[in-house]
Amino acid sequence: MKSRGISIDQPRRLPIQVCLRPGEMPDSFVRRLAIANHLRPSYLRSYLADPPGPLASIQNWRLAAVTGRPEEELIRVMPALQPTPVTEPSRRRVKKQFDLFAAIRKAAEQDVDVQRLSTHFGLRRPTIIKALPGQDPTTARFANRRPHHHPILEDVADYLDQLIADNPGATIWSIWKKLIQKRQTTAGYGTVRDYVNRVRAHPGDTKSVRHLVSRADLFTKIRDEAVGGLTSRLAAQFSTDHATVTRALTGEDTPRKRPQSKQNPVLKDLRHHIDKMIDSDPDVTVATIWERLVDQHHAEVSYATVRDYVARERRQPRPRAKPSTITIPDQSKPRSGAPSVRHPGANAIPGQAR
Amino acid sequence: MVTATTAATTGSYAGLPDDDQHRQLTTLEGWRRYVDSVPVVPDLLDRQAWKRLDGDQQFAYDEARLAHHARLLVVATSTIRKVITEGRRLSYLNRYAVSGRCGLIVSGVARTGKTTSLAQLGKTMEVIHRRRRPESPQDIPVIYITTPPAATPRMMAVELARFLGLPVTTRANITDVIEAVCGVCLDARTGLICVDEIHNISLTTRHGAETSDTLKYFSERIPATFVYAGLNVEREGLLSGTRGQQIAGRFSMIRTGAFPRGDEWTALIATLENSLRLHAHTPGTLTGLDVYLHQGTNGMIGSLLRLIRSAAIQAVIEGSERITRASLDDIEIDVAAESARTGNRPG
Repeated sequence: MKSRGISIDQPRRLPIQVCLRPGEMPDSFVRRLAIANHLRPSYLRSYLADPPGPLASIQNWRLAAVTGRPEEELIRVMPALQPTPVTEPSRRRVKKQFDLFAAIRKAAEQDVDVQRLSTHFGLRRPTIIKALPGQDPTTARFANRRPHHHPILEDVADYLDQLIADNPGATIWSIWKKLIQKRQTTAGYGTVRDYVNRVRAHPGDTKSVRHLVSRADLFTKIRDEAVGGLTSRLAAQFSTDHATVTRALTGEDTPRKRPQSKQNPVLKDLRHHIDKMIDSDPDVTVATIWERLVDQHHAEVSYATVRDYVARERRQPRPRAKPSTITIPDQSKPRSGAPSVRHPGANAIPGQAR
Repeated sequence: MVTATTAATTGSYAGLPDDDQHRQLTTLEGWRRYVDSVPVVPDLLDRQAWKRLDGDQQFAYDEARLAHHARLLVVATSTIRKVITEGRRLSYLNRYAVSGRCGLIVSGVARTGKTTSLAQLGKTMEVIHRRRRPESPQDIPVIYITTPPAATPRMMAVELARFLGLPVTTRANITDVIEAVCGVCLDARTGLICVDEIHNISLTTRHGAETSDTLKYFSERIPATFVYAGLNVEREGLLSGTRGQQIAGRFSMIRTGAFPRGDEWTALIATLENSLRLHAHTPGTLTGLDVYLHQGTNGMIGSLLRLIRSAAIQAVIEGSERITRASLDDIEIDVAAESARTGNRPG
């Protein structure tokens, strides 16, 4: 049973329990518990997330409920259940996104076809469009947007401020979940996200929407305002630090993304299983692959790891038993009736159908 | 004494929290709570001790008596004894059977004690199993479920999973649920599955027929005795048609009905009267009113229990501390019994 992405069911103790093994990984324990209760391991693993699904991590309170043991005992026996402190995830994520967008812009100088860029980077086409220079729809949206209030938050603003102050590194998702669970409000995630972003950008000003812009948009605005301006003035104007302003003004100095190893050791013995599944059914979903790995191959691997590997495999040309034929149309003569992808700031470019 | 009685009345059973979510038979926690519960009859204080109670003690004493009268005792009627005997006999018959297991159907009109008989059978079987296998306290020897209205095969499988505490989400398909239920039942040595309100399955509909087939499939997979209870099962179509004939060939039936006016009826009233904890009640009052009570309740044990429990609670609340014919006249029972009292047929 789900409501607004948050599960409202109360897990109950499973009928058959298994013993705890000190130092065991949670995924391994959940697997043993599922097998003892004749459940598919992937099913129980997804059930223990909140909201239930393969993406989220195991929630200690749900695991405590299905085992009938206190959380403290589970964490003591399985230290991996200890919640990891949040270390500025948003900043890292923004930086990662900025580096990615820079790479997309560079590639777009050679080839502006959105669909080909989408295939090359393994990203959705709206993300490619967002990354490309020109009329950024996100920027345009915020440029014409007036500051607005959220009356629904009036009664809970104090509690929200307290949550933000208590844990500056808390994710917006966790703040929203706490809010709707503790205060019985029906505020949407987007509303809370806007509010938290505003407060974090301007702790004393909860009315401005200036800092709802993304990191990339912020850099664009800094560059636009940079003519004749001092770094300190720009930093104060955009509520950011000097280093960010400097980085925005000297875009070339942005540190390059450290090349990641594509050989994830977790997938060492699973790679050929995944390849086999993709070969036998090119349209197989990531969720299906993950479930089969967990259920049939006793894998203790996260959904995200499988998703990343599959995305990488799919965007790289792989030798297939029956390769699909890709026809690149003549771009100088767009075919009438063919689907086209409109690129912001450029003329319509015909793309090929999938 | 008052303190001890209060603690026994309001305390938790078998370490389970005393909240409403466990006050149901259709979950494993609730069922275990029911099986572990031992009815505690509060002692009746003598008049001097009763008068000496201060405000708090008086309140606690009355609460204990009200709780006792709200439950009263389960009287082992002939129907309950018959259901338990037949259920035990069938469970022994089925213990070594590999297929074609026999079952039991308890059928009758409302207020005749079907659910009570079923629950008492389950409780008896669970106690016997615990004595037989004290080394396996985690076993689930008895399952009790209620047939949902307009039941489908998936709903029936989900009911069994819900009793066991197995997680069922919208993603779970019926095959997964059935496999989990059968696997857990085998591991937990389930020997008796009670299915109440079986009249909610109608073999004249496609879903009803499929649900009946699902129950049959469960009976083949799980080495347990199935006991059904429902309203007038033979008239509701569960035994008609090809599927119904198969059920009729495997299941024996015990019919419940109204008590005839006689020794058993009088003995039933006497047992209930002996369990009353009222200070001014004259013993023998209710047994002397057996004819009146039979006419007022139509011989239905459900209506009789409700009438006497209501009158006892009313006597404690009002402070009269006695049940008389006049006080019984003031009690509104169920609509069916009221119609019988006034000579009108309901609806």
